[in-house]
Order: sequence, then structure tokens, then C-alpha cells
Amino acid sequence: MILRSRAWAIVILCFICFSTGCNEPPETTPDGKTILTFWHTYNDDETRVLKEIIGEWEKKNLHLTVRAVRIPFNGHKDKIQTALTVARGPDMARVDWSYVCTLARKKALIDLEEYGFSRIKDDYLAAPLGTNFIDGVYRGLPDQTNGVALFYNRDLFRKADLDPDSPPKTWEEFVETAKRLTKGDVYGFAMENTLWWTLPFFNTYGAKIISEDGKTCLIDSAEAIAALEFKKSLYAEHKVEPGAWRAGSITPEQGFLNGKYAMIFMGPWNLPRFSKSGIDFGVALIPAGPAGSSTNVGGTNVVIFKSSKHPKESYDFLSFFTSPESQAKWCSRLNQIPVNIRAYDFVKFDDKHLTTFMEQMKFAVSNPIVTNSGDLENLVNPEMEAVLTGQKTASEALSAVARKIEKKVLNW
Amino acid sequence: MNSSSPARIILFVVLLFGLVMISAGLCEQLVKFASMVVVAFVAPQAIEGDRSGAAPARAMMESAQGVSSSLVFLIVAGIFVYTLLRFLKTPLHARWNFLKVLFLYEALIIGVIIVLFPFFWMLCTSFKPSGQELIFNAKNPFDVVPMEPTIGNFKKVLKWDVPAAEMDAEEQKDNFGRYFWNSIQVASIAAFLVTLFSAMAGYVFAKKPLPYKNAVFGGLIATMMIPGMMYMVPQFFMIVKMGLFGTKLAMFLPHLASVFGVFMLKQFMETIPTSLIEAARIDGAGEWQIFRIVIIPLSMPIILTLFLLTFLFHWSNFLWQLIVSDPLDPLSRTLPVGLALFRGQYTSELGLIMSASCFSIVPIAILFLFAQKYFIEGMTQGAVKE
Repeated sequence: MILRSRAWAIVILCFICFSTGCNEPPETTPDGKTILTFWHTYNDDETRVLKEIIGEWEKKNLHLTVRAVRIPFNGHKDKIQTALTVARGPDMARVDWSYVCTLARKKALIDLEEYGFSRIKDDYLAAPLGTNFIDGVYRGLPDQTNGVALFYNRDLFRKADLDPDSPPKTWEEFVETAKRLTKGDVYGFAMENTLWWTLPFFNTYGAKIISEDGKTCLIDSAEAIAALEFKKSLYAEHKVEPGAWRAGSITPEQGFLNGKYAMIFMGPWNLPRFSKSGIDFGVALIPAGPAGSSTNVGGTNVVIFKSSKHPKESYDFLSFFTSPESQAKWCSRLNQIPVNIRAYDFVKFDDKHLTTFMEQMKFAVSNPIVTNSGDLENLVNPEMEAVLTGQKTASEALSAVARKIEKKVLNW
Repeated sequence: MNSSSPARIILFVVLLFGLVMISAGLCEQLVKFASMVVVAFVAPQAIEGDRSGAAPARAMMESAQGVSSSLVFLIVAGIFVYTLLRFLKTPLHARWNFLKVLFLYEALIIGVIIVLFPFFWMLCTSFKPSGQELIFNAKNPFDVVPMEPTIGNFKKVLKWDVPAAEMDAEEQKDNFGRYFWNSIQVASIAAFLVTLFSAMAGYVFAKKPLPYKNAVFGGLIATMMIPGMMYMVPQFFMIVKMGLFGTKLAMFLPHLASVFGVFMLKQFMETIPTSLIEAARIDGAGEWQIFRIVIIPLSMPIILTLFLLTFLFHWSNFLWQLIVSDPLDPLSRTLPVGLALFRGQYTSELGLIMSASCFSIVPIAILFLFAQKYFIEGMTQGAVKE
């Protein structure tokens, strides 16, 4: 009997121990300041600078305080979505660029124009700002941006008697250079085959994926077909690409770090790690196609939720956070590309690779905006793979997938 | 055996060659790993971002190579001589048997290497400095031991790299050790309760009279067909309405009713002869006593199996624990959520993830080692019903 009651005591104790916890979060601090919550996904270094910027803003707004809360990037969409369903969401959040459209079409975000966003919108880089422009309304501000550029291994350039200071500038030069670099087990180029990683090809050929009104898919245009055919030729015809996009092969990043691939597309996020790895590499603009050099857009945006009780104050904070002064501080401390054009003059990097990226971002074209970018990728990627492996021609694959996209992705 | 002796000799030479190759490769990596760990602790730590700081570690590793290669040579030579002597000492009629055993050992060693290599790789990567994680030895890609080892990753994960004075009290506690402790609590309590409830329910379904028992059980089994994702939002909604958001209880409460567990235990308990229960009743045992003295001890293998499976599930249950955790309270984070913080939009801090994972596999490894006998027994016993 003693054992029996002990077993139950343990069970009951467990419940008591763990059922006590927090409930409704307070709206003001004990000294009467209104709390604005900001869910972000920054890393340790970024969080430190964020806290400084918040401190500066709070000095100007003595009755307000921003509570910055860190959540993992992996899973931030689920966290935000579930929190919103029970009205436990934050006032503002930092989200992946593709998630702004999802939230906006679910009517979760405020229209920034209510607080006069048009006065400052031209300060932001066009491409990252474009990912916030949903159905004619700005729903968020870019806070961090990047895109891919051409990374090349300077040692391999030297070995192939190429000048490491003059990387290829056009696609024609690129093919020539890649052919000379391909020798033995070294390949001139390696690429991924998802839509996002293929956007630099599409954009340099001037191809658009989705029309302005978001209702028509233009991926079967002559420009897009030409871009995809060119991409295929790198693998199938010129044989300067080993098929790094196939499942299970050595990824471009890994092959580049180990000196197997001489050129890859890569974003600025890997600059610190690549520098520490000890390889001698350079960064150049994506080679120019018929529409000049261009790239895709990655990064994140900050948004304000309709459920927020303090949208005006939140907007005030976020516009301060992305202002030229804050951006200058943020970017010089963390070696990132400013989203605010007016901050470009204040930011001077020692790392010349970053300067190349700043240049590249001026030519970036905004990504296709759809409700669920994952669905778009899932439809396009297998078709592109079929083209690369020679099962379909580019025009066959793209015209078939264009109608499918209109039916399944653009039909919201 | 009347097989010719040349065939035996040739086979022995081949097997001996295989043994030497395996032991040479294995010893080289293990000795190198041991010296790497020593160097990592002894060598001055490289300063973040400064490549020249790694030079002393590399120099020490290189000087250790001479010593370790002679050590490896000695060990391999020892194994070679030992095997050769054993072979020669074996009487002629037993030599085929000897070769069989030798072959078996080699095959098993290769199996062990294949199974344990990923763990070894993880351990080695956790000692690699940032930026070097994906760089491989060009000559031998299986040589994963870093040449510039550092313990910086472990320090960072445990927040020993930042001086205590620079952090407030909460930041100091907000480290991996804390997440680890939270996960231990959640996983062990959940596993205990799930096995308890499943054992009680399983006993009823297996042995007790209950109106519409089979129909009820069929209904329960049918719920297993619905993917767990479907429940996520409603369950979260209920948790918030119950005022449990952000508590540890919320992290496992919806998973306490485990149909899988009930099913598994019921299937096993049905194999316990009813006569045992009747005998206990004749001896004057009450319901609870029958359950505790007869049923539980007899079902121990399957109960431990369920405990392990549930523990594993909660130990790595990322999404649900992320959703119900209160972001305002970083100290309530569990391990999977803490691990996810090392991953950004496009980059992952592989060295940090690997060093944190080194800690996170410890409880599972310990549990598995202790309960391994039951675990494997239980897996097969639950599957077969007689």
C-alpha cells in the first residue's frame, strides 16, 4: 500500500510542478513603459548590435521599450503561425523574405502606407524592397539582404594560366574560362538546380517568372527558355559542370572549399567561413547576359502584425532600425550589405569581396512573389532537372509547368 | 577437412593482409584522434578570424605525427605477429575453423566501423575551427581528424568564452547545459508517464472484461492513421486555453495518451497466461497487486522498450517544443530548440552543432547500453503474437 500511494504521489507531484507557469504576458513594465515585442532570428553577434540599437531608440522614446525575443530561424514560420492563431503573436517579427507574401495574403500584416511609408520607401534597395510589395501594398521593410555572386578559386585560375584579377564578365567569357579550368578531377563550375539558385540565369537573360499582377506565369517566355538552355549547356554540352545539383553529389560549397570546383555561385553569408578556411578566392559579379549582370534576392524582412496594439510605435522602431544611421552601424559591425541605399556611403568595408556584393545587389531583381514559394519550387525544380538530364527540352518542360503553376500556385 | 593446404595458406595471407589494413587504418585514426584531443586542450587557442593563431596547434599535431606513426606501427606489428603465431600454433585440423573465426572478426570490425564512423566524424568535427568543417583531406577523405584542433566550439556552446562579468544573470544561465537539463526533465517524465498509462490501458484491453472492448480498441487504432501534424494547432489552442503555454507540462501533455504504446503493450500482455493472474487472485492478490506483481515484471522488456522509444521521441521533438515554448523565457528552451539556434537562414554553425550534439547523444547512448538486452528482446516480442 505504501508503494501504491508513493507511485500516485509522484504522478501528482509531477503535474503540480510543471503546471505552474507563465500566462498572459504583461503589456507594460513595472515602471510604466509600454512593451513592444519583436521576434527575431538573429545570431549571437547580431543580437548584441540589435540590443545597442534598441537602447538608442529607447533613449528617444522614454515611454516605450522593445523586448527582443530570439527564436530559431528553422521553424520560425510555424512558431509565428501557431502563435497568431491564439492571439499570442508579437507586435513585429523578422521573417524570411518569402514569408511576407504568405502572411500578407492571410491578412495578418498592416499596410505600411498608413504610417507614411511612401516618404522613405525610395531609400531602400529596390530588389529586397520588392519582396515586400504584395498586391500593390507594402507589407514589410527589408532588414537584411543578400544575393549570390560568382566565387572563384584564384589558385586554380593561376594553375590554368588565367589572370586571377580578371574574372569572366559575360557568359561567353565564362564558358571559355570554365573550359580552361576543367582539367582532371577539377571542374570549372558547379551549380545548384533549385529555382532560387537558377534566378541569376533567368535574371541575366531578362526573364520574368510571374507577371506584375501575380496572375500569370511567364516562365515559358523565350528569354526563360534561352536561360535554361544555357544552364543546361554548361553541364551537357560544354561539360564544365560535374552535375553537382544531383542528389548525393559533392555540393558546390563543399567542392569549392576542397578545390574541386573552380567557380560557384555563393552568397555573402559564407564569406567569413570561406576566409577562415584558408583558400584563396575572389568574388565577381554574376556574368552579364543579354540583360546585363543580375542576381537573386535572399535575406529577411521585418513585418508588423495587425494584431499588434501598437502598430505606430512598432513602425517607428522598425523605420529607425533600418534607417541609414542604424544600418551603417549594423553593417560595419557585422559585415553585411546595407538595405538602405543612403547607408551605402557610410559603410566602408576592409573586405573588398563585400564591396563587390554591394555592387551586385544594385543589379539584383526581386524574386517571384507567390503565396507559397515552396510550392513554386516543388513544381519547377523537377522539370528543370528533367531538362538538365535531357529527358525534356527546355520549352517543353517550361510551358507545361507554367500552366501548372497558374492553376496550383497563382490561384489564391 | 581434406582441403589442400595451399588454399588455406592463401586464404590466411589474404585475411591477414585484410586484418593489417583494417588495424592500420583504425589505429592511425584512433591514435591521431587521441593526440588531437590532447593538442586541442594544450595548444593556445586560435583567435577568432585570425588564421595565424592556429599555427601552434598545427605544429604540435605535426610533431605528434612522428610519435603516433611509430606507435601505430608497433600496434599493427603486434597484431600481425600475434595472429601469425596463433595460426601456426593451431593444429592443422582446426585451421579452417581458425580462418572462419578470423574472417568473422574482420567482418564484424568492418560493421562496427561503418556504424560508428558517423559518431567519430561528429566528434572530430566538433574540434574543427569554424570554416574548416567541410574541408577534407585530399588524399584520404576518411581521415577526418582535424589538423588544427580547438576546443572553442565546446566553450562557446557552454558559454565559457564570454567573461562572466559581461553577461547578466539570465544570459549566464542561458546555455546548453540548461537546455540539456530541461530536456532530461521533459523526456524522462513523459516517458515514465506514457509507459505507466499505456501499461494500465494495455492490461485492461488485454485481460479485463470491458463492454465493446474490441470496438473501442479499433477506434483507438484508427486514430493512429491520422498524421500527428493535424493535431498540432488544435492541441496548441487547448494548451493555451488551459493556461499551460510555456510550461514544461505543455511540452508532453498532449502526447501522454499514446495509442501506439497501448497497442504495443496490449499485444505483449495478451501472451501472459491468464492462469497466472487467476493463481495470483486465488492467493489473495487485489487488482493493483496483480498488475504490479504479475503483469509489470513479466512485461518489463516491452515496458523498457516503450520507455526508450518515448524518451527518444521527446528528446528530439523539435516542432512541438518550439511551438509551446515561451520565447520570452529563454531558460525554458529544450535541447532541440537550442540546437536549432545554431542554424541561420543559409548557414549552419556546423562545429557548434556537432559539439552540442556530442552532449545530446550521451543520455540516449547510456539508456541504450543499459537497456539494450531488453530493447532488442522487446522489439521482436511485440511483433510476434502467439
